[in-house]
Amino acid sequence: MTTLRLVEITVDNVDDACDLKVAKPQRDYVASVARSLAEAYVQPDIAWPRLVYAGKKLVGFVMAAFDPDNPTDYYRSYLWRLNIAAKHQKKGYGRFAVEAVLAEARRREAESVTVSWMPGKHSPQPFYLRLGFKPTGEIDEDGEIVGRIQL
Amino acid sequence: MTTLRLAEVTSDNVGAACNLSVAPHQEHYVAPVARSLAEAYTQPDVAWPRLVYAGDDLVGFVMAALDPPCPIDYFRCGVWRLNIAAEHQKKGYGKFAVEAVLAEARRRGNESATVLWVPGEHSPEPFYLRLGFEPTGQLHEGEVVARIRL
Repeated sequence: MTTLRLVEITVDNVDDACDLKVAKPQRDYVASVARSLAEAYVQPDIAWPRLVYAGKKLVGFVMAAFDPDNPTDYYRSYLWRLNIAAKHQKKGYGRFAVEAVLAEARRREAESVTVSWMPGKHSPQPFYLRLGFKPTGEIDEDGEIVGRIQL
Repeated sequence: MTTLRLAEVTSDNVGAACNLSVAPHQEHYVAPVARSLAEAYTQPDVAWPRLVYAGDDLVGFVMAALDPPCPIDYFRCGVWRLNIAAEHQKKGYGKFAVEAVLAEARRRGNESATVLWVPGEHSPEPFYLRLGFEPTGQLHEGEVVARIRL
């Protein structure tokens, strides 16, 4: 089995990170990596962006938000973005990335992690439900379903 | 005359900044704002990104690189990216943005500033020559290196 690992974003890998493309039908559901890193630039103490490598190959990007003081409770420990490269899907890399965020959240002593998704065809909803996230009944400001997993 | 000003990139304006589009024929010559801010994320002490507002309208983006210890001398102080919104070009906003970078460079004690461009039709070359940048004779990965004395 290929070794999976998380890597911080650096000058050396940021171009490859920005070139990472999810499958076409998923592009309505997740922002580009460049957009996510632009958002990370303005909130460097909150955003926790990481690249996913399988061996030497860049296969994905995940970004969490750790913002314990956020007035909106579901943004305090939040799986913000997940992009798995189109040609590397269905291999368990997304699950690895989510579990890495959950591990980081535990390390920071969060008791749960949230995620939000747009419902619809090609939505990541079934993926997150399989991982154990449960809808809280809340809809966020962008109309997305909020799901939570207890740690 | 509309008041022009620079603003730092914040949580409140980053979405609008990333939506800023240059004219289609310029897309080949400059990275999108989101890509520039992604690069800024990895070099927050080097990148100096600013938004250009004309009154209340976001009209452009400029990013300088201010990196005195860089081993490549033409990357130590210069204009890294300049994106003026398609519908706001030819109004002097680009000149304003470049002059703001030159002012910041002066404030930091630099004696010159650089810019690089890809030559070709729709290249910003004539714009930078008009502002006083002069080609140094160097090429970097196919881009012309130019410098202006401060």
